[in-house]
Parts: sequence; C-alpha cells; structure tokens
Amino acid sequence: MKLNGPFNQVKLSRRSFLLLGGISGYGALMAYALGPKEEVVWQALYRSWTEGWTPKSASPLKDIEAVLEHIREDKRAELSLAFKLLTFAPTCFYLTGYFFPWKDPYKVSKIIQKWQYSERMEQKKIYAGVAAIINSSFYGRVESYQDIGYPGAPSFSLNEGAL
Amino acid sequence: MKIYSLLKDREQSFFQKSDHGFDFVIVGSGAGGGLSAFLLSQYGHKVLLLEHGPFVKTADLSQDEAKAYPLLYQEAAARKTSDGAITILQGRSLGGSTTVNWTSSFRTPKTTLKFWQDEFGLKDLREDSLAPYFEVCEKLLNIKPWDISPNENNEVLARGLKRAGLKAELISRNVLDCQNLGLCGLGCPTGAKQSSLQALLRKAPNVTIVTDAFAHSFSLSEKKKVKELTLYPRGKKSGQWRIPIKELIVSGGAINSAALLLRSKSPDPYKNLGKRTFLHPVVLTGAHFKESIDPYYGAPQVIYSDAFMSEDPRELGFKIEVPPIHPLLLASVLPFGSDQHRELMSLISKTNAMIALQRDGFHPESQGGEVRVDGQGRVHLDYDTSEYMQRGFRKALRVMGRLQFAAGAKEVLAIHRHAKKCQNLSDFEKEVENLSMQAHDLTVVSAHVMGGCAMSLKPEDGVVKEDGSHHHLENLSVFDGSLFPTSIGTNPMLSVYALVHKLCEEKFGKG
Repeated sequence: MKLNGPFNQVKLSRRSFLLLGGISGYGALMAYALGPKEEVVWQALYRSWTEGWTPKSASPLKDIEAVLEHIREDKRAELSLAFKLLTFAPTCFYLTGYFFPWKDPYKVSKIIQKWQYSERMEQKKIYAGVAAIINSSFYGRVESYQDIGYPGAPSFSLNEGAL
Repeated sequence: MKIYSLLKDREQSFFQKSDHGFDFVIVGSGAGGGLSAFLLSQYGHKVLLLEHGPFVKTADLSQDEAKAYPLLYQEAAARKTSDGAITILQGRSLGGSTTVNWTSSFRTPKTTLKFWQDEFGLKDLREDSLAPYFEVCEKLLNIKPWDISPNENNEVLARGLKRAGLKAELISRNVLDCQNLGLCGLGCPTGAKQSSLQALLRKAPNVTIVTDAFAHSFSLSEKKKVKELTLYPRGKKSGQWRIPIKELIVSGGAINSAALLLRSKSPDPYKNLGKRTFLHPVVLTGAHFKESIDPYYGAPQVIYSDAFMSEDPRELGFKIEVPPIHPLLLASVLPFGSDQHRELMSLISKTNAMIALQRDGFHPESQGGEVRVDGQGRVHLDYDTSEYMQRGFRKALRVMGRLQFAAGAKEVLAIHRHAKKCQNLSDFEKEVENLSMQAHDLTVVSAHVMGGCAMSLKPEDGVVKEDGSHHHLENLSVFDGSLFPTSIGTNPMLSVYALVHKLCEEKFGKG
C-alpha cells in the first residue's frame, strides 16, 4: 500500500485499494467532502497537534476545508479515501493500531508520534499529509502570527505607475 | 496590451465567436512567454498571450500567505513530485514565476554552456553568442547588483562564508525603486519587481492577453502543423474555446509545456518528451541566533556562494543561498512533530535558513525526472533522488551547518524528519552522517523547474531543434526553461530570458 504525503498525494496501489477500499465498502470516491466521521478524525488530529497553542480559530474544520479546497481534485479524492479508511475500524487498526481512537486524546497523540517515527511508507506519508494540512490551516491564519511572534508584513507604498 | 479573463462570460463569448486572426498564440506569460510576446509585438505581429492563472493588479496583491499562494502558484504552492517527496514552487498568474520569484538574476554559468556544447553539440550557445542577449535583458529588466545592506538572514551567510575563508558574492536583482520589504514571494506589492508583466507586457501594444485560460491540447493537421488549440476556463470542464493556429509558441514553463505536448499527442518517435526534467533539488538547514534575524524582512536573496560548485559539472555541485522565511512557508517545510514544530515556529524571528541548490542533469546518476499525463490529462512528475544526489544532500547539509555555526548560530538543525537541534558543529556533523537522505525523511523542495522539451541537434536526442522549433511540427516552438538539456546550476530566470530573446529574434525578428 502506498499512501502519499502532504496536500497532494495520497496514492493507493490497485491491490491495496481493492483490499482496503473493498473492506471498507467505500469504493471509488471521486469528490471530496468532509463527512461527519472524517470531521471527528480531523478534529481529533487538529486538537492534538495544536494542543497548548490556544488556537484562535473557533472552527478549525473550516480552516482545514479552506486548505483542502486548493488540493487538486484527483489528490483530494485520494485523500478523502485515506480518511475514510481511518474511520473504518479494521483499516483504522491497520493504519493506527487502534480500532476507533479518535475520542481519546492520549491515543491520538500516540498515533501522531507513531506516524512520525514510522518507517512504513504509508504512515510516513499520512503523517506528512496531516502535518502539512494542519500546519497550513493553523499558520495560514493571520491570527496565528502573534502566537509565533511574526510581526506581519511591513508597511509600504505603491510605486508610481505600477500595473 | 489588453487583458481579458476567460472566466468572465462576456469575454469568453467574445473570444469564442470568431477567428481574431492572431499571427502568434503564446501559451504562458512568464519569462519565456512574456518576452516572446513583447518581442513579437515589436516586430509588428498580432499576438495572443494565454495565461492559466489570473491577472492580479499590484494594488490587489495580498500579503497574507494563505490568500497569495492559491492565487499565484501552481496547485496553491503545493505541487509535488508524484511520490510526494519534493514540493515544487512554480508561479501561475500573469507574469508566471517572474511574478513570485525572489528576483535573483544570474547569467548561465560558463561551465554549463561548455557542457551543452561538448555533450549535446549546442555550439551556438556560447558565452560570447549569448552575451548581447544577456545585456539587453539586463537593461529591459533593470537587473543590477543590490547595493543596499543585506538583511540579517543574508548577513549570516556572508559572515559564515567570510569566517570559513570563502567569498560572499552579491546577487543582482531585477527591481526598480525597491522598498526592501521581503515580500517578493507573495508578489511584489509595490510594483518594484520587474516581472515580465511590469517590465515587458505593459509596453507591448499588439498583445492581447487572456488569463484564466487553461491550454489543454492542440490538434494537428495532416501537414504536420498545429491546427487548433483547445482552451478551457481555469478549473472548468465546459466553455471550451478553439483557436486556429498560425504559429504556436509554448512557454508554459517546464512540466506544463511538456504536459501540453503530451496531452496533444505531439509526435515523439524517440520518446524524449517530458524526460530529463530537472529541479535543482534544494535541501535546507535552520539555525537559531541569540539576536533577531527577522528573516521575513528585506530583499530575500542578495548573497550567494558558488564555492561548492566544482568547475566540472559532472561532479557534485551546489549553490548556497538563503530563503526568505514567512510563517506558512516555514510551517510547510518543517517535518517535525507538533511539540518541536511549534517550538521552531515560535523562534521564527531568530531563525536563519540556508538552502543548497543541487545541479542535476550532468552526472549519469542524475538524469532528472519524467513528466507524464494520466488518462484525465492531469500532469505528474516522477523524480527519484539517486544515491549520488543523496551524497550531495548530505554534503550540502554539512557545509551549511558549518557556515551557520561559523556565523555564530546557537544551534543548527537539518530540516529532516528525524533531525535534532545541535549546539555545536561536531554534534551536527555526526547527526547529519547518521540521517537517511531518502525522500520523505529529508525535506527537499524546488523552485527551479527545467527541461522536459530539450533542445537537440538530432530528433533522436531531444524534442526541439537548436532554434526552439519542434523537430516534427512546423509551426510550433518551445520558448521557456523546458528547452534546457540539463539544469542550469543557478537561478534560471535570466537564462530563460536571454535564450528566448536569442531564439525569438533569430527565428521571427526582422532582418
């Protein structure tokens, strides 16, 4: 199985797709949409990732959706499939070591660590994808600037004749 | 110059209704396409210039990264190689990558030109034959050495080089009345950057520009000529527009130009199309200093070193520069767990980063990647980093760490999934020695995409002739960085301009 990383790339081999997709019964998903179960997974990952940051966003899912919106359609469908796998107990166990860990912050934190240090390519890639999306959703907001001490863009004036 | 958008219904129907009799249709508005349009307009031709991205007025550019990247970059600045291992920053708005690059302007290294002459027989691409074109382009784009003090991020590199007994070289930049802001990568908000739009297209009277236009494919006549180009409004599958073609110039930039030719099933009997696509793969180190660096302010790149570029390009070689650091850009390249990630982010104001651009395409174990399109016409780039290249990455990390410690860094970190901060050079070197240099472990990025439609004397060896004309199609030329038979070994913008100037003048100029 080959799950690719940040933003663009969650790619499943045909065999793995049939195996995992078939088991999960989700088949070929061509359009991306955050379903209620996926929302639970994203929320759990986001909370664990940003724990201690007191993120200013009241709706992290909206921030995540804003990032996902820019992902290429085919990659979005693949990413969607990967998240479906994380919401289906048998495939979730394969990828995380738990059947449905998303309501337990301790387990979620362990999963993130496990993915980060895993030498299994699919876990490396899921980790990279999740990291990129959550980081972008968090640091893509101007509200995060003060948390990291970025003072924002300097002031400037438009040059005469600029198009 | 008139600018229309294919996303506006009225303008879309205006173009779709009739043949407007364009002498030239150019796909892409970056260095290659922008200059071609400018020159052809001066020669008196009626030119249509097509751009996939939008036209964003200078006054409307956002300094908010989350808004700027989706608007101005291919795939929202998240384009990747097909295995997801290498992030590729490539512009996609009117002006192409010249709108968002960091303004570093270099002539093509003579070692690269010599290699092209010796290995590919491109005898006409010499330092002396290209010099007049470099001079003209440098004037057109106001390219001059930067004469304001470097920001602290660049100063770290200068100091490190000096203390290591190496020379810090000054980078020339294409700016006019630059306010030294450091926002180049988000599109210059003052209009100082002399992008192809600001410096060239605005002065081109006979050019009609249509933005938000995705050039999907072209059809061929029986006489081995391009007959019609099919476009779609950006992001849409309807609203097709077919343009009759007299002369087509493909300047979409590497990856995109090859993809257009592949989707069009252009003749490629020797299977060269899309192959030998180069990236100048970049690895990074970060360093923390006691004092503020503020790496987000000031001209982003003004100091460089070629001390690690050997004279023989077949040997490992990399160029050292620094990147500007903005929050989202930094967040996206740090591959660490949440605790380490947030700590590193919170140190942004005291962070210096260095980058090493490895030249690719010269050594037998560094033959670049391959562009391919899938059944839906979507583009993919397969690019593997060989053991040879991984040796280069390791060497580059060691060199950059050495320079950062020499400059007074408190701690240095290789940007790598398993790396830890090191407080001294000895620990850092041991750390780098033990790290895997494989994809997904090491962060690798690229902002220089080249090749894929290589020039060659014989059709067996490339896609286009030495003059940029397609080997098998009479009225098709490729005028952009995809022409290069190897990478350049330096930031490629000025090389694209000069080469395209030469080709365009020789092929289509008067007299």
